[in-house]
Amino acid sequence: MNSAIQYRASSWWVSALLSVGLFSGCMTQVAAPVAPATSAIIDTYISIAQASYGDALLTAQQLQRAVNAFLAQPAAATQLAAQEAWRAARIPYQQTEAFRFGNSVVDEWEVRVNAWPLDEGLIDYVSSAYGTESDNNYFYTANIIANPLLDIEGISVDAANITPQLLGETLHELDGVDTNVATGYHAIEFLLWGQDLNGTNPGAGARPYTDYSLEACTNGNCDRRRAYLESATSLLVTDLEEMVQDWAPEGAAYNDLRSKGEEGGIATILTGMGSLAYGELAGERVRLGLLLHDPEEEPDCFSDNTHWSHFYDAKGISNVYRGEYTRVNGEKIDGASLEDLIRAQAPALHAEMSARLEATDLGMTELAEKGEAGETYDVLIASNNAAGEELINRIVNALMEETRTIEKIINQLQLQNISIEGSDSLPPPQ
Amino acid sequence: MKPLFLVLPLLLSGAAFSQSTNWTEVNLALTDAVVIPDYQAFATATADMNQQAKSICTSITPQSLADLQSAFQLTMDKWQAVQHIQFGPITYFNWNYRLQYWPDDNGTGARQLLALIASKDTSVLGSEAFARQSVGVQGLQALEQLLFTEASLGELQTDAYRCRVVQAIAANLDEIAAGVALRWSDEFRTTVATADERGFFESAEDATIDFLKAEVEPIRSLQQQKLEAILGESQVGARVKRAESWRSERSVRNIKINVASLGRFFNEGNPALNTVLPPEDIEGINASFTKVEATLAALPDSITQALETESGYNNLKQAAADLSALFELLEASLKKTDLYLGFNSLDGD
Repeated sequence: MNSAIQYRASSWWVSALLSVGLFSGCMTQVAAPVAPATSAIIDTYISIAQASYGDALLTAQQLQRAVNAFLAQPAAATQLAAQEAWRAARIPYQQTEAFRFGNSVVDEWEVRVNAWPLDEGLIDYVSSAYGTESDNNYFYTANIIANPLLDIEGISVDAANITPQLLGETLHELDGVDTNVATGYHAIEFLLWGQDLNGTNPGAGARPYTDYSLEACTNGNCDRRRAYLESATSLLVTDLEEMVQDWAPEGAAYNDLRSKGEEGGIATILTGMGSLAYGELAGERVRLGLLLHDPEEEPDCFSDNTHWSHFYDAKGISNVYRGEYTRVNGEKIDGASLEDLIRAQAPALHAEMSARLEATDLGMTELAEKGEAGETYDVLIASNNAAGEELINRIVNALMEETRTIEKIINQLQLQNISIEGSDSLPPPQ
Repeated sequence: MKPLFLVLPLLLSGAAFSQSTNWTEVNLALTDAVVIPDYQAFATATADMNQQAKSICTSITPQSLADLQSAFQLTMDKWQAVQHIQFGPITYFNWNYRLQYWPDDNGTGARQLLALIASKDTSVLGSEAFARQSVGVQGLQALEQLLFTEASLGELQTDAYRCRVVQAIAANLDEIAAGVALRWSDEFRTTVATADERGFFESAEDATIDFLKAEVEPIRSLQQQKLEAILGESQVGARVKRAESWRSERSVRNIKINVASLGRFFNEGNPALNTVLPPEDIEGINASFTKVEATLAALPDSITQALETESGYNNLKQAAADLSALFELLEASLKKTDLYLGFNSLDGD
């Protein structure tokens, strides 16, 4: 795909270059930036989608191997290895999230692999602090692992055999409730870590590895818990295989994007960037937790990996704008980009967008550093953590500013009818 | 392959309506005729509720609880009239979320309120400390949860801490409502009046766009969040507890007030906000407002009650369809202008 990417000069830019030459009188010029062809920008975008979903699949397969090794020999070391594999799998996946909004094939599929927040009581045992009922969800504490047969509010579920089909086709979004999340990264995360019972104090979930031991089973139903973890991991791999196929030439996402035409393709790129930056990341995932001071509002709430998930979400937006991605094997994808176009067409706006991305990156880097030092997202959002609040607000503001600049880019390119994902926890961008 | 910027200007050929609006006049007329009086009415109702709450804990009787419930209902009436205005002072200090954290898809506020009551921690009930607690326990939703269950009277009589939480919330709401009203009539009115000169808005037209967003986007929100999310696919599949204010039996009443307020927001003031749209569209839009109001008028205030009958369910479905039609009329009208509302924070949810 990269070989097809090339830069083309428009007649407008040829004129501009000539004008510079005529009026500056400068003989040793640095070449002015040249606007790439729209088709080349879209080609790069597709290349990055293919590479990043490919990496998400690759690392999910590694996770599956680590889970199988853990189940073959439940021990602290094999559990840790599976947890590390889960963290590694999040790195490429989070960078794909800039492809979610705007690409309906991805957005409709996404709920199967990355749905959040979840009422984990649907899946397994929970602490008493979790509560016993929810206004929105009859299956709040259904505990499928402990209950092979369910009959709640007239809805019967035969969960005698825990299989990928049961999770994906019956339990996931059971009763039409979004928080009945039976599949995907976060279900697996819960199964590997268990609930984080530390509130806004440091510390992640501490599920004993013996929860998966057939000889020394803790918390009951280890055979069914093993089946659940195995099925959920297997399903994640299958789902990612599907998305890799969807981005291959003639795949559903590929064809859908191509069918939108060039302007539609650029609009899709910007919709994905703006929706992730604004409604999803700034609103639902970063700010809401602070408003509620509630560790349950942390996306990776079991593993306390949220700081990295946020970091790589922001990086995904930057990847798409800059037309670059570094694969998990170190290979670099680099091609014609929206950044090249804006640099050529509106240098001031390019400078503004660069500054916005850098400000976000600065905040996210600080978030990641604090997380690695033990001050994870759930610690930062505590009601008495003024420094944490300052950092979170700084990141939200950076993402909001980034969104406003994305809006300016949309106006600059005179694209219309773009809808950006919002959030109940954010005002509209001014 | 043509470069992007040579292709895209062709997309802009749709705007046909010639705009000759004095944006500042429209903005100020709406501010003075609707926004400031409505926020002041909200602040007055909230202050009255706070006064009642202050004395309730000494002797909680069925009558004193009923009086406080009535004060809550009036406060909610006035809040619903301004709920759609999500710009300006309401965004300061997280005031909007602290006034009402809804929708709460995960039941976080309810869970946190129970945890707060169980904690018996009096150190968080002072106004400063309370303002730093989760937005889920600070506002109207939490107060409703404390005042409108069958067990409320007994729980408030036997649990002094619970009653103190009621007082803390009422005081918090009073402080916020007074703050928003004051800021609108004072500093933010000036901001609106000088939108062309100062930094908050890029221009007076930019300010008008915020007023328009407050008019148009909430209509989709009413349709999707306040109706469709509850109604589901069938009468038996409806989920009352997803409705706003289901405990205080006023979910439909809220929508009635919302629609009436949006109608006033559109038409009151001289010049009215509707003058920024092509004149030939206004009659149709107002007829669409009337249609929604007529559908809603046939319904009881309580969504629980409305959902008991098939005709009630169908009327609620019809109200959602009417709201969708109204939204689409406004959207189509806006497309004839050069007014771009920017990112729509509701579509795509």
